[in-house]
Amino acid sequence: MVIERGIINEFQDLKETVEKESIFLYFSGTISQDALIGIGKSLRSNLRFSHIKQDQAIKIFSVFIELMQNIKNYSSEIIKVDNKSCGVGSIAIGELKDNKQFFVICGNPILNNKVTKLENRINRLNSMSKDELKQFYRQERQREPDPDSKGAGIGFIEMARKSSELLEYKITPIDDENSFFTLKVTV
Amino acid sequence: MKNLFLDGADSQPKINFDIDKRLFLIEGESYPEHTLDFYSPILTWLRDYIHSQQGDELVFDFRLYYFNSSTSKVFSDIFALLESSVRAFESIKINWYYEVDDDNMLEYGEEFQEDFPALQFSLIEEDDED
Repeated sequence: MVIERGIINEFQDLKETVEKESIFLYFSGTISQDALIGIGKSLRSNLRFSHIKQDQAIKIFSVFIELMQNIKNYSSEIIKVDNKSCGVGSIAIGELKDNKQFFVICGNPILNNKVTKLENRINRLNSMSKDELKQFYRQERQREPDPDSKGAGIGFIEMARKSSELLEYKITPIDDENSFFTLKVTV
Repeated sequence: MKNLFLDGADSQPKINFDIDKRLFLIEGESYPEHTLDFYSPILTWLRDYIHSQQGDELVFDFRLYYFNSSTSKVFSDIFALLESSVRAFESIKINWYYEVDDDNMLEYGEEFQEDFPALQFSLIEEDDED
């Protein structure tokens, strides 16, 4: 096997970039249920034995699972694992420089025909107060989910409620069919 | 009808629905791969049970330390089903357990309590015995 000379030099740089952002968990690849469970367990262990308040730790874990499930279900890059289709994407968790808040950031390609709906959804949530989000969450929870939703469709609302800041996102075109969606949730 | 029992597993809750004891337990964690599909037979079982029974009090124990948003919707559906049948039973009690520092889990319980006033919710704080 030939290893490119480049990566042996760049791998340490990659680690340093990650540390500069105070990222303590980073995963990029196929999000199968096994990956989700395994990384989730590891995360939960780390959080339990860290200095992070349990309340905040639970929120971090919760946002992490929701985002992992989103990548798995909605990424437009798909790989079959055990005969199941799984989304491919990246996720990272780090500490903000204010030393009080944490961020969970994820990225994955999405179909261009989903972009507008996604933008509208996030912008709408960002325009709501905490009380409005609470009402909206409880109202949507009792409704039938959208036909093209793989879950209950309330994951974003739940993350917006748990988030201590507005949901930050970026959508960058990749090609005719796909764009890259990055989302940052602050807890 | 037979009792319903599902062992807990990674990302899946333990389900113990005991007809004789009239005790219904959902315990552990819940973020199964296809959450709505996972709970579909459980909801069917509950619907069949509720529509075939009446009389004494029913007690539901919810002891979870994490569940995803799709599970939250399923629980909402379960409570709606129970609330629609509440007149057929003496009472329907929901024991909602949460761990000592877990304000998140307490808040879920409080919100379900507000959304389903016909059910008797008890929000019960538990010491972490790990």
